[in-house]
Amino acid sequence: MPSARLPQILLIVSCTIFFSCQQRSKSMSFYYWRTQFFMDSSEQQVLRDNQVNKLYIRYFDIDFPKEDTAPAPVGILQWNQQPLTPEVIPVVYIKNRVFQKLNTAGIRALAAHTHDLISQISKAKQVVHNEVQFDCDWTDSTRIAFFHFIETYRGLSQQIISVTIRLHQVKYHDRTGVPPADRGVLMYYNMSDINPGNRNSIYDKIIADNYVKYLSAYPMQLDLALPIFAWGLQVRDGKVVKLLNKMNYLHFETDSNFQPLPNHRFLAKQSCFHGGYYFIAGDEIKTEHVEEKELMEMVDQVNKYSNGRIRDLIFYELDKENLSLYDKAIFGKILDRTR
Amino acid sequence: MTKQSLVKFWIAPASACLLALGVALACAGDWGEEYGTSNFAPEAFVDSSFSPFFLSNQFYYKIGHEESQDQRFNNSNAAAWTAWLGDAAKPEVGFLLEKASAGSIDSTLLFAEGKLSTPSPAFIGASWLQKKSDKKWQAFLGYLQLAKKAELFALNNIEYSWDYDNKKPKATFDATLFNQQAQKGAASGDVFLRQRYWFQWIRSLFFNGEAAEVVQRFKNYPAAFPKNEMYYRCMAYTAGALRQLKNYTQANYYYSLVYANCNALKTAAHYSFHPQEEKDWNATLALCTNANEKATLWQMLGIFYADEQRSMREIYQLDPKSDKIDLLLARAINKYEQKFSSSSELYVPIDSAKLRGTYAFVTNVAASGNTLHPWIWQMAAGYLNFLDKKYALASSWYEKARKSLPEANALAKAQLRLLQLINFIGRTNLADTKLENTILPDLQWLGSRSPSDLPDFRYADALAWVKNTLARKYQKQKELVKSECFVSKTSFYASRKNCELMKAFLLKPGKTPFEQLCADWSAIKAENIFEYQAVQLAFADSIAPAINLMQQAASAATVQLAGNPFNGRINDCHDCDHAAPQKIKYSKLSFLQKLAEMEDKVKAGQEIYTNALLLGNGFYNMSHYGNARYFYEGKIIGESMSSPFYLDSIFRPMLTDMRLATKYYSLALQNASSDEQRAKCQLLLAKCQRNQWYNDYIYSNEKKKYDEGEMINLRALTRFAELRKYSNTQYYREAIKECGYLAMYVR
Repeated sequence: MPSARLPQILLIVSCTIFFSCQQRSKSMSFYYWRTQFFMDSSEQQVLRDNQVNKLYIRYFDIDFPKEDTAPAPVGILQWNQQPLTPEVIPVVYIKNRVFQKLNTAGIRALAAHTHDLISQISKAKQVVHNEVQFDCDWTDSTRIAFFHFIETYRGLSQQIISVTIRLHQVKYHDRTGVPPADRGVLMYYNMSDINPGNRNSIYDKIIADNYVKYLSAYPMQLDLALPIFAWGLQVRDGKVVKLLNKMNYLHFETDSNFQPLPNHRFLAKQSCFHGGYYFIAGDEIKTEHVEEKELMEMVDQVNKYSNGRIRDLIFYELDKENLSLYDKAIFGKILDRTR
Repeated sequence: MTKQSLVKFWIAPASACLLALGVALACAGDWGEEYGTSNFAPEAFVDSSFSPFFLSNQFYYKIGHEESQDQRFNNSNAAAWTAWLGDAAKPEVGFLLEKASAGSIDSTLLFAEGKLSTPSPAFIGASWLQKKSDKKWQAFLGYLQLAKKAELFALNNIEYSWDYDNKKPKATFDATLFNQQAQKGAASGDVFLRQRYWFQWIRSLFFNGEAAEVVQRFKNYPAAFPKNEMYYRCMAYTAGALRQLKNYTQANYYYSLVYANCNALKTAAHYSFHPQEEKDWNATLALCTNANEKATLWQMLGIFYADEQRSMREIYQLDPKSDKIDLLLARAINKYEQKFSSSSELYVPIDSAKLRGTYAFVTNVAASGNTLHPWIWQMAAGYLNFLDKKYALASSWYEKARKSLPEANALAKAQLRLLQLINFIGRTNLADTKLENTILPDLQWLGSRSPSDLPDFRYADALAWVKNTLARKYQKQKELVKSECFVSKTSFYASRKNCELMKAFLLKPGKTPFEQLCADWSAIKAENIFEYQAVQLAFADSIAPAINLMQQAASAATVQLAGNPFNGRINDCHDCDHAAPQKIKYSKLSFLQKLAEMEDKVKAGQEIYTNALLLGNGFYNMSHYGNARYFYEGKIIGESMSSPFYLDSIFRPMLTDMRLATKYYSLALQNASSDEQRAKCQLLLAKCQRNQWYNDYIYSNEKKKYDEGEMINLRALTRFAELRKYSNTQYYREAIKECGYLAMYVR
């Protein structure tokens, strides 16, 4: 049975008091976010090199399209390999609109379906877990429904519930509320809208500075999720027309159909296919990722306001394309820097 | 018979990377058509088998997401078997193929071979059982026996569900025996049967074997078999296997052949076609054996990757007479015409190099005249010129198109007539008799259309444009009545003179045919104006003239009011009044007549308190604050406006005014004979005072539109001080219980 909220807060307080004399060891883990579970050798090696014991695996999304009568799972995980870490934490991404039109009975049914499907997926590979994580960008209008879902799910599963927390939910927690979960994961990325300009939508220091200071007052124990992903934005006539999943600047540097521009941007010199995408002559490609020094900067920002309360570090997401952008030792360095 | 999937696993995008940024169609979405703004129907000249790929804000035009994978071959399968078995078999074949269970087929086959004494209970009494010794029937049942087994691996439920078993890869199916039987069936005998066994074999290898085996098997596909649907189904599985092997070059080539030659698999080939790099795309082009195959590839690129212009140029270079270019042309025009705005004489200012490129290409090709159907290009070139306001050029292109447009193509003819009409209106500055007489037959034709005449005809945007454009021209020429006939504007009726002119026009005998059309198209009819003027008079307390006009308002006069308009509540509750039993139901007219009767009594000094109180209630209730909003609602004033902010600002002061109610409540107060009566009058007057405060401080300030809930300044409610003088009355005690404002005021 997970701890109730009040004792949990007391625990946080007592941890803080004794922090100076009892150094906690932090652990590192990764999110696995593909629909087919299969890790190649480079991905497996990263887990071994960093003694990663825990993997957060996305099991499925839940959506409730407006033309449908009930929410349904989307992109359910298929196992093509046994998970290699001793511990697995299933993650379910729930679209905010799911909670916009569910009544109490609907929430109960959703919790039951979700619990059942998570159990089925775990059972398929004999995965035993005692925690589930829900990822939902809830808002004022869905807060009550989402929080009720968490409580209902906990009642059904008797498991620890963690949830993702966005920066705006930290800043405005007196308005958006604090979810009745056992712990949270601060998603320290996707800070700005997808935009064709020069602002990085994954990490924007100005925005981060604006929000992170509210962290010290956030009444929940948090893990920290940091971005090691990259993507490209296809820009046409000044508008983003497509998100190029997992396409980073290295993918364009070597293709002579693209002319490099400053800031990891590229110009399609002629219409062509590349990486499974089609580009029209004149399209601009803005690639985005977060560099090592920025990751360090992010950790420093969080350290300043976390009061040493960050428990674990989770990198989003484990994928060989992302790993190719970083030095092998980076994960350990970031972990060491996190207070 | 069975569900198909060309890739083994349905791969859904992960949530973190979901970002649908498709082509946004102006005006499309929840309210508009899926193709946005359009006067140019692809159905007029593009083969219907391509319709899923017409420009749409859905994944596939008129389909959305295609989910027919479990049925798309039902009809062709049943037809093929029926033809082979003989026509008499028709009713049974569909049932056996689609519904009969594997078990019932097994036992019936044994019965047919004489190994069982009775058939499956499901078939007892079926006429075809008499043919049990027929070799073809036995062969059919033998084939079905194998085919039903394939459902174990080939059915792939991709519908969303909470059942994980449906989502898991199929448990391994030991296909050894199945493949042996399929191979045996494919080896000898009738070509019809052999080809089907070949299909079973290839599909089984796709689901149960190695991708390389599928490719190898397809290489040995017998040349003697016809190149029919069965062949392309085999090719599609082979393309899927090649894709698994990352041989995108060959896979995409096969998908293009499937797309070109098998209509049932066009959409499946579409979503599986994915060139990865320019190198494989060029290599796929190099595999083509002729220009027509290359044109198919370019067509796929143009549709699937939204680069119609490049594809049109490439196909045109390969073969100017290729019909594969038509679909691309339709899509390019449908994109171009998003700049057309039906609500304005001008166009949405969209201009880009891409649109200019479309214009240049289409007009050049139209000028060359060397395409398969030059009239399509001439019509398109005319339309693009119209959209760019080059009316004279548009006109000459349309004239050329008209001369060669096939007589039998009713949709294209209607479309050209429509385009010529809007071009003529666009190019004519003055809306004079000459213009009116020229366009009259076309307007009559357009106005009388019903959507069922030519279901694909896109004329709604053009019709709206015609109305807007003519209204604007007449407005400019100061012919306000004609302008009002084409586009009605509330502000027009703010002027009494306009109302009279409009009435006179609508009621005028001996109209010219064009005037008759104007009157017919006018959204406002004479009776609507009578009704509106009657309401205006009522709000001016001129009840007798109001009755006179309301009597000419046709059916509006008899519209019943929802509640008793003479009720006076402590707390307004329209729903309660509407639900309450009413001995007398008042109509708009009878309500006015009752008001007149009461006013007469007041004037005659009869029961002044009672009549004045009821008159106060009547005037209160016919205002926006009362229970009888139906009284003023009509075509000119509008309907169902829940807040005074939604009332047209022209009518808001009149409809929210409290002066008449106040006048009669005050009269009642003067004639009250008891404190109970006085308390009641004071409370009703306080309600008027409260509403007037809202009128003055909230509803006259547009900035407060989204902040209507502002708390009233209680000090403004001076009537409450008067009311408190009667605190010893029963009415006061009830009022303080029910009226929150009063309770707060007292506190």
